Amino acid sequence: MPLRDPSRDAITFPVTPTSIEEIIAPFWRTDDGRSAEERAEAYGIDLSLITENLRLRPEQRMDQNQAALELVRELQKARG
Amino acid sequence: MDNLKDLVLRLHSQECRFVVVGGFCAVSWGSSLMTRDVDVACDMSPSNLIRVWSALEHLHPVHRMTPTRLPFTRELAEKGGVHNLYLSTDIGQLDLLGEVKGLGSFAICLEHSEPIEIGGVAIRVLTLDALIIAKRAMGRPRDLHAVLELEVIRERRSGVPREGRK
Repeated sequence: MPLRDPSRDAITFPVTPTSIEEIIAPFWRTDDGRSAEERAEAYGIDLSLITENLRLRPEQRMDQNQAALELVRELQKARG
Repeated sequence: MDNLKDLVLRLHSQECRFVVVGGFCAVSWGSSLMTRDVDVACDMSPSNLIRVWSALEHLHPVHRMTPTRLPFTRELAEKGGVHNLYLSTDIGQLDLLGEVKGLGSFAICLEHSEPIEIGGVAIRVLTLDALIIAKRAMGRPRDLHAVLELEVIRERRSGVPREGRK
């Protein structure tokens, strides 16, 4: 059975750069009564990643970024 | 092979005057956003640019924004008079900025920086507050993601009660 792509039958609406700006605009504000965590969660940020990173030293965080970069490069190479 | 940490350490080894800003600075503070280049606020005086050139000379640095990818030479460093340099090297991209949006000159960035230990040496990075100001000033959607993360990190580090929670 073929996979169903929900984006093909969903109701579509035009997403222009302007409307994206409008959608995210409230998240720039800090006077919304929310904590930084609440705002980040509402935006969809996975806070567990930050929790993990804060256990590391700055240099380890940089090494982690390096490892991610190398993985991306390997994946791109594999795709040709 | 990119090695962003090595780029920074090479600048340090030649006693370049710089402060790590941008995405790599955000990574150092704990942001989860991966970055592919190093941005530094930099003293753009000829004497410092010569140190930068010395740090990079064996890495084939070129101006990546020029159509012909002009080499970054000692002569160009000596000439000075540049506000920003967008370089590509054998081990990664390095942007040298004479000014950072939202903050200002290298001197101001230096004032709002602090040392972190990398490879056994002290490297200066923007303070968390200064980085948030700079990212807010950039104002792009990807900066918003970084800002939201950095503000969580600031909140957690400060231990300030989560006033928004009911």
